[in-house]
Amino acid sequence: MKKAFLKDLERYLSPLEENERKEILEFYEERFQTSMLYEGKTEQEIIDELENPRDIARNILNEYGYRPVQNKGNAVEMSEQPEQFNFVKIFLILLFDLLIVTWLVPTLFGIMVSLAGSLGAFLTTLQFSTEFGALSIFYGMLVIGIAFLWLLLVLWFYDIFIGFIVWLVRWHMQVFHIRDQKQVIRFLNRFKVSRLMRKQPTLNRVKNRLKSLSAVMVIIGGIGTLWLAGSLFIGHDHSLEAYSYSIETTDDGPWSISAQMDLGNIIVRYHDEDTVWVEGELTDRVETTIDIDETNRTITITNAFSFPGFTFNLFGSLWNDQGELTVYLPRDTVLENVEIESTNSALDFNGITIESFTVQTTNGSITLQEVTFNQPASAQTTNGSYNVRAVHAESLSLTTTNGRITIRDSVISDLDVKTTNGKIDVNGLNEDAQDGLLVNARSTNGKIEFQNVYALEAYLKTTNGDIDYDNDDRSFYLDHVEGTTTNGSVRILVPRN
Amino acid sequence: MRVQLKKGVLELCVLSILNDQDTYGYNIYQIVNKIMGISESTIYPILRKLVTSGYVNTYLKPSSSGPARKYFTLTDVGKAHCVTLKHDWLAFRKQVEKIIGSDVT
Repeated sequence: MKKAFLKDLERYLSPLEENERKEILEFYEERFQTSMLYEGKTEQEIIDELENPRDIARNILNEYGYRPVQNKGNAVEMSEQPEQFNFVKIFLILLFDLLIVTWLVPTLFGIMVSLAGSLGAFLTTLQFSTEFGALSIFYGMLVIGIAFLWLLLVLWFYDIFIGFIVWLVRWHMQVFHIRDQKQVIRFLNRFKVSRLMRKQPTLNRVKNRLKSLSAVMVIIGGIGTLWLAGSLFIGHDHSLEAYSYSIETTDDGPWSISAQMDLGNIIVRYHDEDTVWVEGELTDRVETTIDIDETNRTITITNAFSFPGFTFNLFGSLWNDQGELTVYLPRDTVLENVEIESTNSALDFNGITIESFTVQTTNGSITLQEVTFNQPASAQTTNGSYNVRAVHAESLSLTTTNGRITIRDSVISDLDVKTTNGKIDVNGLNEDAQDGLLVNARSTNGKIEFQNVYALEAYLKTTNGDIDYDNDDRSFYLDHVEGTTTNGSVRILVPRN
Repeated sequence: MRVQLKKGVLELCVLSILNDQDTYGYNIYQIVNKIMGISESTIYPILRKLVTSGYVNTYLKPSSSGPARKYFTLTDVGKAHCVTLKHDWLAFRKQVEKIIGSDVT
C-alpha cells in the first residue's frame, strides 16, 4: 500500500529534478515510519490521512514554481494522463470474485448472522426467578456476563466483515481506476464499530469497562453458580421416581394430551387393553403432576424445573437420565388434540392417529412413526431433530434450528420442512400413489437430499450445502422443481415438464 | 484566500519552531497544523527551500525504536533571518491594522 502510494507520488512528481524528487519521497517515507512507529497507525490509516498523491504532487510542484493544472506543461500532462488498465489484474480480480468472493461474503455474513441470532435466542430463552436467593445473583451475573461478551464477539465479527468489504471495494476501485476512492472508503468505514468507538472516547471507555466487568462477572458468577448449584449440573445425586396412573375406558371416544414439561421424555402408543395408562420413571429433581381427566377426556402432564434461567439449556445435554413416561391408549383411540410444550423432553408418537397437533420443544427430538394426521400438523424445536417414518398427513410442517430432519416412506401431500443448521433427508414420499402436491425444504447450513419424492412441485433451498434430488421412477414428471444453493452443488436428476 | 495568507507566513512559522528546538519534518507539520490547519504537502517544499537558502541544516538523529530520522536545525544565518522576518511581520501587522482596524466589524 505504502509502496504503491510512493510510486504514484513519484510518477506525479516526474517534472521535478531527480534529487528534488528523491528528497520529497524520503520525507514521505519518514512520515510513514514515524506514524507507524510512534502513533501506531497502519499504512492504510496514514494513506487515508494524507492527501492523494496527485494533490500532493500538485501542491509541491506549485511550491517549486511549476505552474498548475490549466497551463500547459509537464504537471498537466501528468495529472490528466489517462491511466492504463491492466488487463492481467482485471482478469485476476474477476477470477477472485468468481471463485472466492461469491462464497466468502455470504459465508462471513452467515457466520455473523448466526452469531447474532444465537445471542438473540439465548436472550429470549432466559427466564429469571429469584426464588433461589444467592444462586439467582450468581447465575444472573454469569448469564449477563456471557451475553455481553457474546455481543462484543458479534460486533468484532461485524467489523471484520465490514473491513473485508472495504478491502474488496478499495481493491476493485484501484484496479478499475475509479475516482473518489477516498470518499467511498470513508463512507464505508463509517459503518465500523471500531471507528465509532475511536470517535466517541466516552462510549469506548464505557465499552471497555463493561468488557472487564463482564469478564469478572462470568468468573465470579461461574464459580458461585458451580459452588451453590454444582451438584445440579454435574452430580448424579438424584434418583428416578416411578409413576403409574390408569383408568378404564369402555367407549372408543377420542382423548387429548396436554403437556408442559421441562424434564422427562414422553412416548405415546396403543395397547390392547381398555385402559388409559400413564406409567414410567422420572427424575426426582422435578415434581411431576399427572392427571387423567375422564370427563374432559384429557391427559395432562406438567413439571417445571425452576432453576433460575435454566430454560437456557447450556447444560441440558448433561441430563441424559431424566427418565420417560409412556402414555398407553386403547387401540384405535383417536388423539383429538395434542398440545405439548417441552424444554428437554423428547417426544415419541408411535402408531397413533391424531387430529390436531401442536408441539414445541427446545432440546427434545421428535419422533413420529406410523402416525396418521387428520388435520394439518406442525412442530417446532430449537435443538431437536425430527425422525419421521411412515407418516400419513395432508399437511405437515416441521421447523428446527440446529436439528436434522429425516423423513422416510411417508405420505404427505403438502410438506414444509425448515432447519438452519441441520441436514434435510427425505427418502420415500408419496411413493406408491405419486400424488404429492408440494414439498418445500429450506436449510441454511445443511445439505438437502431427496430420494423418491413424488410431488407436483418441489422447492429445495439452502445456502451452504449441496442439493441432491433423484427418483427411481423417471417417468414421473414434476410441474416445477427449484433447487438453489450458494455454496454447494445442485444435482437434480428428476424430469420436469 | 486564507490559504494564500497562511502560505506567506509559513516560512516564519517554521523558522520559529526550529528556533525553539530541533525536530523532524512531520513534527513541524503537526505543530503548525494543530494551530492553523495546513496541508502536509506545503511544509516539505518550504523546508527544502530553507535548506537550500542556507537557513536550515539537517542531520540524522538515531532513534531508540526505529530508523534514524532527519532532524532540522537553524544555522546562525537562519537565526538572524528568523529575527528579521519576525520584525518584518510585526511591523507589517501593525501597518495593516492601522488601515483595517484591529477589531472585526
